[in-house]
This record gives sequence, C-alpha cells and structure tokens, in this order.
Amino acid sequence: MTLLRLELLRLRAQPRVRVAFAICLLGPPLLGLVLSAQAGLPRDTLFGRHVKESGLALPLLVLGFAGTWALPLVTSIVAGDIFATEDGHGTWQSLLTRSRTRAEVFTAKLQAAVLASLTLLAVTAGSSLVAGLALAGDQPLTGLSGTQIGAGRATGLVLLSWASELVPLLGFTALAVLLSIATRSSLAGVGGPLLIGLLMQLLSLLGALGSAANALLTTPFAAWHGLVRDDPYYGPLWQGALVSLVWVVGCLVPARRILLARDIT
Amino acid sequence: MKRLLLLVPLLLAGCGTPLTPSRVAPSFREVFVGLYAQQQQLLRREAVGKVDPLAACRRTGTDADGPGEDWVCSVQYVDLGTSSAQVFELQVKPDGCWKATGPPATQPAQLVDPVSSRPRTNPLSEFDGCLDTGW
Repeated sequence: MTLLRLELLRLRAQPRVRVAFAICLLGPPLLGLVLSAQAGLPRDTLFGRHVKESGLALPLLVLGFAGTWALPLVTSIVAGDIFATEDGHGTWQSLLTRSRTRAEVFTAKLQAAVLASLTLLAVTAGSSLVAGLALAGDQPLTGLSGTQIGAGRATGLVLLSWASELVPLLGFTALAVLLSIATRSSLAGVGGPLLIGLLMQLLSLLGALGSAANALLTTPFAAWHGLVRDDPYYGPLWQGALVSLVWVVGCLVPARRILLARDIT
Repeated sequence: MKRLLLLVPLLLAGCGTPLTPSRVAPSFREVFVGLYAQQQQLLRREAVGKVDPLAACRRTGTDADGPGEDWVCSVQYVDLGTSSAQVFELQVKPDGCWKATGPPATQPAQLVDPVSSRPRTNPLSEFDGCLDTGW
C-alpha cells in the first residue's frame, strides 16, 4: 500500500472529516430548502436577490460566503491535523521505521491534504449547483455587469468561479500544514488557519489597507467577481494566483525544512 | 515567512484605495444600462431599452474615496426624447462590490406587467455590481 493511499484511508476514517464532507454535501440543498420555504431573500450577499429567478444564483450565493470563512475551515480540518496527529498519538517513530524517508512522508501527507481539500471543494460546488437548479431551474442569470447570461454559459462561469477558489484554498492548505508541523498541535493546525483567515477578513473589512489588501490570502477568494459578467476581467484572478503561490511557497518550504530537521528518536 | 515580510513595504508602496469616483461611476453606469434594458423589457417597451446615460458618483461624507455607505451616483439619460435624472444611493464594500438603491418614487420595488397585470420585481430598485480592485 502506498503512503498516499494510507493517508487518504486515515483521513476518510476521521469523524471530523466525515462531518465536513456531510456539511459540504448537504449544506447547499438545506439552504435551498430554507430559501424556498421563506418569502424573504438574502439581499445582502451577492446573487442573494436572484436565487429564485435563476438556479445559477444559489451556487454563487454559497460561493460568496464559503470564501469568507468556510473554505479555510474545510482545508484546515484535513490539513491542520495530518502531521500533528502523529505527535498527538506519538506515532512518528513507527511511521518512519517503515523504510520511508521523511521527505516521502511529507509529500504523501501533503498530497493527501490537497486531494481531500479538492474533493470537499468539488463536492460543495456540485451540490450547490444541483440545489440551485432544483430550486429555480435553468433560467438566464443576471450577471454582475447587469446583463442576462444564458444558462449554458452561466453554468460554465459558475464552475469556473468555484474552480478559482482552489488557488487560495491551497494557500490555506499550506498554512495549515506549516502550523501543524511547527506547533505539533492539532488544535493550532486546525484553528490557526481559521483564525488567520478571519483576521485577514477583518483587516480587509476595515478597508484601511487599500490595494495592499490584495496581498492577503483571503482576497483571491473574491476573484470570481470578475468572471460572472458579459465581459469578464481576469486581473484579480492572476494576481490572486501569484499571491497564493507566494503564500504556498512561503509556508511549505519552512514546513518541510522543520520536519526534515526534527529530532525524532 | 521572511520573504513575505520583505514584500510588505513593496505592497504598501502600491497602496491607495481603488475605490475612487472615477472607477465607481463606470461600474455603476454599466450595470444601470444592462438593468434598464431588462426593466424596459419587463414593461414591454422593447423598442426603447438601450440608453447611453451620463453617470457621476461621489461620497457625501468627508472622505472623497474608499469604501463606505455614503456614496451616491446620479444618472442622466434620454429615452424616447424624454430626459430623466435619478440619484441612487450606494454602499461600496472594501472588496469592490457595491449595492445600489434606487429612489423609491421612481424605482419602486415592484412593477406591474402591463399585459398580465402581474407584479414583477423591479431590477433597478436594488442591484449589485463589482469593480476591478486589482493592482
């Protein structure tokens, strides 16, 4: 059995990962049910006022608040614990005696965390798209440029928007991995990225940063705003990818170094 | 992490808010034009629809730019030879997205479909848009 498969099996067995999976899968349909039962609309979130006009609005509504805190939480649930759990159970020695190098263990655990985060993101995207279509059907969507976008093109844009979240999500995965290795504590690994994410949100909400807010890891979560329109702009998307890449490298390089240099006896 | 800290001064150098009147106004204008066409279609006035308005935005408070709830955008347009002017209130959020609220007298929440007499949501009574806040 490869290390990666072993890590994925271990993730799948964890209750908190199962709960996260269930929330990602069932949350959007539940939201759809609640919305269909009530007369009011969530007007304060983008696309909230259109959820009953077009089925393609609900996945974007979910995306709007998923990016603010749910996605950092989802990835830190899997990535923040994946290294620290060995410290919690004192199992580093037995893991490393199986003729595997630390670098191999690092890579396998990182791959498992990325794959799990990707799966949870894809599940949420698919589930909210299906829930939206069930709620309001495939009517044209009023995009952010004020024009109607046909259902076919809008579906593509919705999927592209969700895919764009992967970039900052991986940034948070790397942050969780670093905290997990550096602190050797699952609590810090899972709670740390969430807390940092919320702090970044708060900083950008204060608005004092101006364009410097573009360097925060939470800003690329909003890059999809440029996509759902007649004439999309991709600037924030590329910038977000660059910023996220800096965060990924800035977190993974020290994380790997700490793990390789650690004294495990 | 050190590498990131080195980036901070560079980023702050490129600071300054992207939320200025000269960037909010075209964003507002674009969405207004799109939704005006949609509204005219709801009212079964397909022949009209497209307008080429003038739009100007400013903050009513002490600050000239930046996010805030005190933005107003005025829009002037000529439709079928009749000139109209309206003022919308805008909440501009730090992420570059804004919410506009129309004057209730001219842009009520509901419109009535002239053919079926059914109430329809007025797309111009309240609407959202976003502008590019990239570097």
